Amino acid sequence: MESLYPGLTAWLEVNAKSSDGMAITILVAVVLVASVWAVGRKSERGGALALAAWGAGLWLFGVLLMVMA
Amino acid sequence: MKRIPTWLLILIVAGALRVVNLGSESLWYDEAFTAQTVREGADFWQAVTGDTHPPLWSIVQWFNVRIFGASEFAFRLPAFVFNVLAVLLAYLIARQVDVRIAPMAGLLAAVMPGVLYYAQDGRMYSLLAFTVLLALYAALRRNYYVFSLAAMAAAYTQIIGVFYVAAIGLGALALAKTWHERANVAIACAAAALAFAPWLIVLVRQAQVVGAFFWKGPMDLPNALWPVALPFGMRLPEAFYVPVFVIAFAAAFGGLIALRHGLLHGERTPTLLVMGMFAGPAAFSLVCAVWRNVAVTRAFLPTAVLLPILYAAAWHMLSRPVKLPALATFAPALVVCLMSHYTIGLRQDVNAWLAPIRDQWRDGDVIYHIDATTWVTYSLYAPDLSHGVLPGPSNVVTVSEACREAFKMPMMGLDELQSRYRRAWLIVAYSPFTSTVELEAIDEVTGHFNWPVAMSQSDELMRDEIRLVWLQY
Repeated sequence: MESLYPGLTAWLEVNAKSSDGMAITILVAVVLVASVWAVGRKSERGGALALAAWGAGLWLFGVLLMVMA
Repeated sequence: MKRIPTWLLILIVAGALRVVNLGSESLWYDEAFTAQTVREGADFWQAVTGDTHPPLWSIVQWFNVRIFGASEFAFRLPAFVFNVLAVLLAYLIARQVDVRIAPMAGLLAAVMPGVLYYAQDGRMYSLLAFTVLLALYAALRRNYYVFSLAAMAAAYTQIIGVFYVAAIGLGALALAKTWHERANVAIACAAAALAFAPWLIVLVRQAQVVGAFFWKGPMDLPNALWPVALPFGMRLPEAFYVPVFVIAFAAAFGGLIALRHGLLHGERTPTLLVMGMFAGPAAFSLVCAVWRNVAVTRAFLPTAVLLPILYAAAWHMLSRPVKLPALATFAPALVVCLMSHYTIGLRQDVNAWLAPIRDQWRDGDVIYHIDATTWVTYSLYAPDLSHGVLPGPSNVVTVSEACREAFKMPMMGLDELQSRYRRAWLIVAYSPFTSTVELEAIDEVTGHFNWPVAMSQSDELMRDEIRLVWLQY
C-alpha cells in the first residue's frame, strides 16, 4: 500500500502522535477530577482552590503556547 | 410578563446560533459528494450503493434540492432542522434524568460549537443525532412504537446508528421490569432489524470496499475516547487543544460521578442514558479495533449532543464555593471554541479558487483534475466549464468506480487531454493519499510550460494547487 501511496507512512505517524497526545490529555483530566474531588470531600474551600489552580494552570499553558507559536 | 417556556428559549438560541453563516461557506468535499449524488443527471441508486453509507440522508437531500434548490443555504437546511430538533431532544431527555438540570443541559447543547458545526454541514450526522436521540427518548418513555421507527431511521442514516440503537434496545431489554415490557422491546428491536435487513446485501459490498482501503490509523483507546471532546468543536486554535480537551473530559467525568448513585444501583433512566451515550460507540470502536478503523469522529455526534447532560449534572453536584472556579475554567473554553467556530478554519471558498480560471479562460481550455475528489467539488461550482479527470486508482478515498460512473465523471487520459485541448488548468490536491500514478502524471503534464496560479498549504501533509499548463503551443 505504501508503495502506491508514498505519503501514507507520514500520515499514520501523525495519527499515532495525536493518539499519544490524547492519551496524555485524558490522563490529566482524570488527575484533575480525582484531585478536586478528593480535596473537595474534606473541605469545600479546598476543592474550590484546587479547581481554581487547575483552571489557571490549564489556561496559562494554553496562552503560553499561543504566545510561543 | 409571561416567561418564555424553556423549550422555546432553547429552540430560539439553537436556531439563532445555527442560522448565522449557514449558507455563506462553499460546500466541502463530503457535502459536494452528496450534492453530486442527488443532482439531475446522476444515477442516484448507483451513487448511493457505490458509496459507504445507507441511503436515508441522500433520499432526504434528493427531495430537499428539488423543493428548496441547491444553494448552500438550502442544501444545509435539513441538517439545520434535525440539529435543532436533536438539541430539543437533549433537553427532553435531560428532563427524564432530572428536571433541575434540564434547562442548563438544553442550553449547553444549543451553544456547544461541536454540535452546532453539524447543523451547518449538509451531511447525515445531524439526522443521525436526531434519530438516535429520538430512539433514546422513546425508550426512556417506554414508547416502543416510536423507538422502533427511530431505530430504523438511525440504521438507514449511518451504520454507527445500528450500534447506537442496538445498545439502547439491549439496555431497555435488560432494564425492563415485566415480561410484557420485555416482549415489547424485543418486538420493536426485531421490527427495526427486519426493516434494515434488505440493506444488508448492499452493506456487505460496501464493507468490502471500505475494508480494502480506508484512511484512518489503527483504533486505540485514546482514539475511541476522542469523541468525548467533540462538543467543543472542530475549529479550535491548536494552542488551546490541551486546556479545552482536559476541560471536556473533566466535565464528562464529573457528570458520571454526579450520576454514580443511579448508575451503581442500576436505575433505569441514568443507566439507559449512559448506555445510549457510550455503549454503542464503544461497541463500534471495538469492531474498528478488531477489523479496520472506519470511525470518523463526526459519526459520534449523538454522544456529543447528549454530553451537555453530564456537564449539567456535574454542575448541579458542585457545592457553591466550587461553582465559581468551575465556571471560570469552563466558560472560557466555550467562548474560545464558539468564537473559533465563526472565525477560523473556515471551508475553502471554491468560487475564489475558480476566479482566476474564469478570468483567464479561453477556447480550448479544460480544468484537469489529477485527483477525482477535486472534480466532485469544482464541477459543481463550474458546470459551464470543461472538465477532465485523470483515471487514477479508484477506492473509497478517491471516489469508487461505481460512483464515478454514477456521476458521469469525465475520465480522460493524458493522451486524450493533450490531443483535445490547448491549455489545462491543473487542479492538484496533494494529500497522504496522492498515489504514485497521480504524482507521475503531475510530473508528465507539468513538464510542459506551466506556472502556479494559486496555492494553499493547509498543513504539512496537504496542499492544494492550481497550475496553468500549455499543452499545445
